[in-house]
Amino acid sequence: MVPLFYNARSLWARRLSTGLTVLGLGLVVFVFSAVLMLANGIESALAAGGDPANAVILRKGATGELVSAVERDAVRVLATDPAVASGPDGAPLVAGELVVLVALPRDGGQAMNTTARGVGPQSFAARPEVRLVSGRAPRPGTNEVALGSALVGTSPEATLGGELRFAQQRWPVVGVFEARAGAFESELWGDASRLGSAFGRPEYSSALVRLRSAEDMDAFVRRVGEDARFTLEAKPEPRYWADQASGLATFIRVLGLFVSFVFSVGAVLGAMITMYAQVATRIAELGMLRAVGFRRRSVLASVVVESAMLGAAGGVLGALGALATRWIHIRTLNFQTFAEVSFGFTPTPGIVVGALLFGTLMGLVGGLLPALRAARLSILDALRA
Amino acid sequence: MTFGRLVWRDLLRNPLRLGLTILAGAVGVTAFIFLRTVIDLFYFGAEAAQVDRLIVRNKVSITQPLPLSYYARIAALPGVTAITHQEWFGGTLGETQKDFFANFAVDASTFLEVFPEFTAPSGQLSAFRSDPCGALIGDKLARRFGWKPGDRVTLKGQIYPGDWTFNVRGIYTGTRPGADTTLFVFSYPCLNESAQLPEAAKDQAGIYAVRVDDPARSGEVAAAIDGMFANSPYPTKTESERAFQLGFVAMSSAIVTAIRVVSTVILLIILLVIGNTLAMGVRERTRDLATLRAMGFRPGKVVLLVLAESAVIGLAAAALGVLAAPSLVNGFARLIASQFGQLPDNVMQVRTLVLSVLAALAVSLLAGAVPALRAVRLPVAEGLRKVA
Repeated sequence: MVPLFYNARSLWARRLSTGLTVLGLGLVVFVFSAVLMLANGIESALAAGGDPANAVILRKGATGELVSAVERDAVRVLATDPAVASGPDGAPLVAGELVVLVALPRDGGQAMNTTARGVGPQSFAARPEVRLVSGRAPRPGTNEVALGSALVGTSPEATLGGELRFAQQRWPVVGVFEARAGAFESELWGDASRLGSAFGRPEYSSALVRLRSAEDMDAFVRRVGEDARFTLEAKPEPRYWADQASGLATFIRVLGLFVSFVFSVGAVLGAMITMYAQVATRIAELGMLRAVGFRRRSVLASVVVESAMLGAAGGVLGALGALATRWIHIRTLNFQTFAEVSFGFTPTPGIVVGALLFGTLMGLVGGLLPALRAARLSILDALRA
Repeated sequence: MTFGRLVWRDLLRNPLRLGLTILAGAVGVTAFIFLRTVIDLFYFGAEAAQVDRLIVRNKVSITQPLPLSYYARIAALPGVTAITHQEWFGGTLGETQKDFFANFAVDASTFLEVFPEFTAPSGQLSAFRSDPCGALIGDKLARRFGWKPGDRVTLKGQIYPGDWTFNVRGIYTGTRPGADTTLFVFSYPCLNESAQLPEAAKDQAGIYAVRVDDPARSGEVAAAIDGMFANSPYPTKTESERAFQLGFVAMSSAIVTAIRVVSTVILLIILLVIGNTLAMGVRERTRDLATLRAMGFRPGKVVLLVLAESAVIGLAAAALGVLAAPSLVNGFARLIASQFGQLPDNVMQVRTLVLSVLAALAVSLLAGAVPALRAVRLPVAEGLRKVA
């Protein structure tokens, strides 16, 4: 086995060429991991809006709250289910909610579609992850609204103490809440009846039901589906939000992986060029290695390892660059909910390991053919060169 | 030996490396064209927008409807030559969003007056207009599902619950490039007069599309429409079709920006690959280049030699990339068709191809600049002594 030290020195001896190749490989790994982190960020932003003990009730067949409708009577019936948890005051934790879209003005004349959620008295209690960070909860029966923290500052009046105007009415902002970076942080919450009358929507869009424990979920979902009094279906809240994220996350993932794949072909070719040049300029050296007794397969392994080192260096560079993006936050339209969501690049250990492996793999593949050429050299020819 | 022949010989010094470089460059050019096309896709609606068309929607948000009674009031305004209304239906073929395509309820009698970029045989058109549940579908969509006039298509309503069956009465084509032929439109009465529709949802329009006689006066007409309904329970927001479409793009601007950044990163990668190759070639040929200069070649000529080499590599890569790009775009289109619907025809624009060739040329010249300057900066005597 040729010592690794030899490879490291060889790479260092041709710094410019090595540096350019590592940079190229690093850019590819950067795009690869940034895309995965972005898709992951969307999913965790939306999926974090779910508690496994909560069920979202929608009209059967509805793909989202925006196109769903739930009658007021049905919400009362749902509250009588034995699996429903009770709040501190003994009332069942069931809330009829109304979801409408509001176009809030944004600086520069554009508008952004924002989800306005009309909530009931139990909505906050049924979602322990939602907590007010400043101000107070909107009082029932008034136009007061609370903002998700991702909305603060996105529209001129979207701050605590500001006053939003939509649907011909004024909506004072009295509180700001956080929801563990989930989708609710991109929403504004107000009273369901006030929003309902402002938008001419007598029915709820959905109902939220908190169960005593997540184990009751399967039975509850079945009971709702089979109940002849209404045509509704229940979904565990985390699954509902994961479904809402799937389209946008798939789009980004497909686009990103497609591009990373194309990029990686280019980068592998780049690594190949570099390694061919390394082999070509070191023919005499390689011949010497063979002459002092190293086997063909040792030479082969040495070149492949050298190329893998290039790739690994690119992987480290790219992964570090991608990790630096986690402080960037992005808002974009989710085609499924038709509202804007805010999310960031969310790294996982899996993505970082994947990035390093991807870089090393590109180096390995790029080094294979040059290594074969190096191993095939005959000692005499090589020494004479 | 002529100059051109000298460039040619230098290029072929290491054919394997040349081939790999061109291939790597071509991959980059293809990816560049692909991403630019994806960006164009976001702007597709805005590009196809007509200057004489206004879109009227509910001021609160696009999902809130407008009363149907606005139809006559807008139509009576001076400057308005045609008006139609449409309602996003959002039906799906199955239970899920799979096999997605856009479907609207439209006013069959006025739809083509406001959207003259769509056309169909007059027999099919009159059949569409006389059937209360008639549907008119784009030829690209028709090809996707193999639908033809006379077929019955059942959609599951997402916004309007239940199963809705429509009779395909005609297949429209675009009269100019850029017309979207992937739509499914059906007659409004089928929705509005159905017993399945709740009373509260009757006589509503999603948006109104209005044509004005003089595009220069469209701002005036828009202000007149919004002013007329400002104090009603359903105030409107009227904007040009282009502004309306750009509003959607603005909401996705973060994604568009990310794609733009990545497409620039590609150019950087091409730069690195070609620059690396040229640097290697120049380093190995230090003695040859010094010899040329000893023979009396001016430094400018030597720089030109290296730059010509890089330009050839860049152009060859661009040519290969342009050839490969269409199949890549089509592959991507097939991959996302089931979830996001088909891509319109000719999304890949000549402009994008020209841009990619120019970018490849510029990047390769830039990549050649450093090695070329390095080649002439070395004193001739030192260069002659150098062993690669």
